[in-house]
Amino acid sequence: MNKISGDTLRGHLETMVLAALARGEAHGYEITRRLEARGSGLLELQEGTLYPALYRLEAAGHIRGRWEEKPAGIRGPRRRTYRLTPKGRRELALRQENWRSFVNVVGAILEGAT
Amino acid sequence: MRQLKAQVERVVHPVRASVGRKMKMREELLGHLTTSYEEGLANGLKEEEAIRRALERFGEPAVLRAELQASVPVVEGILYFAIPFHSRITEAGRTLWKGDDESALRHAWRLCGSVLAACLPYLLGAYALLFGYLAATGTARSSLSECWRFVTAFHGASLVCFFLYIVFLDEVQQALQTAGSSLHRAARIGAWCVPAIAMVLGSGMGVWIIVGKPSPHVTWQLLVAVSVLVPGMLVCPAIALTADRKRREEWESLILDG
Repeated sequence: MNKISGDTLRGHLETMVLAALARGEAHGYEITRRLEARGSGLLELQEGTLYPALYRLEAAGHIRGRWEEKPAGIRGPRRRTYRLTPKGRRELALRQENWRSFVNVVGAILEGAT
Repeated sequence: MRQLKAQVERVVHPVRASVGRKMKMREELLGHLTTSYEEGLANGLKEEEAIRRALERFGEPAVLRAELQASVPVVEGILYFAIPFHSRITEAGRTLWKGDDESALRHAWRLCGSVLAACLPYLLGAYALLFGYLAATGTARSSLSECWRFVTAFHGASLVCFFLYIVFLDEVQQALQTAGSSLHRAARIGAWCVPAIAMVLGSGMGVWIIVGKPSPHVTWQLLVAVSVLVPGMLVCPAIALTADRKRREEWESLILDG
């Protein structure tokens, strides 16, 4: 099976992030791991591209981020964790419904061609 | 760590966005790369191999840069594109930061001197306009004595507040950090709103005193009302600016760990 990458993946990245966050609060790195785990090794995600998607979702109010406080004396970058908002849950349900319709319709057409 | 940080800079530096937004991007992307690198080490990779793998998985800087830029609100992107010397101005502003061996008092004097120097063209322009107005209308200069008092009190109080704020800068920052992020956020919003309100009210009252010529009693009431806004007018932007400075210092100090 071919790996899924580039534009094919980018078009659905936001929906996949919402789905990953439906399993609970997570920071960016954890989200990529969740996506990889569910992608059975076929997702070829450029990990950095996750963050623009997170910023767009946060600006739309679908997710909310907060900085994790570092213990005193520990240096290094802080991590930002994200969680779904009620609006994000509704958006995810809507996108899942749309996706199912898309797969049913397009799948039927493509299967009929063979 | 240096290579990871350099990669983050390659991606984020050219993005046209506010300083705060870019600092958030920097810290978050570096956090991701660091975790990826540490995971590589934990899996038995050598240091250089762990860095190479982390960078490879992270993606092409040009692609990430374009996507980050697309995530910035359009208005903000245009605003920062329209200020071509923005980064140079920011860098120049860093010369006003407190030196390592500099006392708080000396730093405050230095900053107040810089503020006065920066305001001088504005003040000279304003006085030129005022004298032009007086000459055009044939008004005696003595009739503006209340206005002079107002202007002197307003600017004098502003400068004193600014001076005191700089003297107690570290204490104020410490208090804000203890108070939590909500106060920081309030200070940032105030940084835009309070000076704007103070400028509009101050200018409006100044014009009223010149044109309306209220009694001295009313004039002093106006002065007191405006003076209440003066501390916020300078302290709020100063808090917002120093919060940015704090984050940038933290970011730059990270390189020492590498």
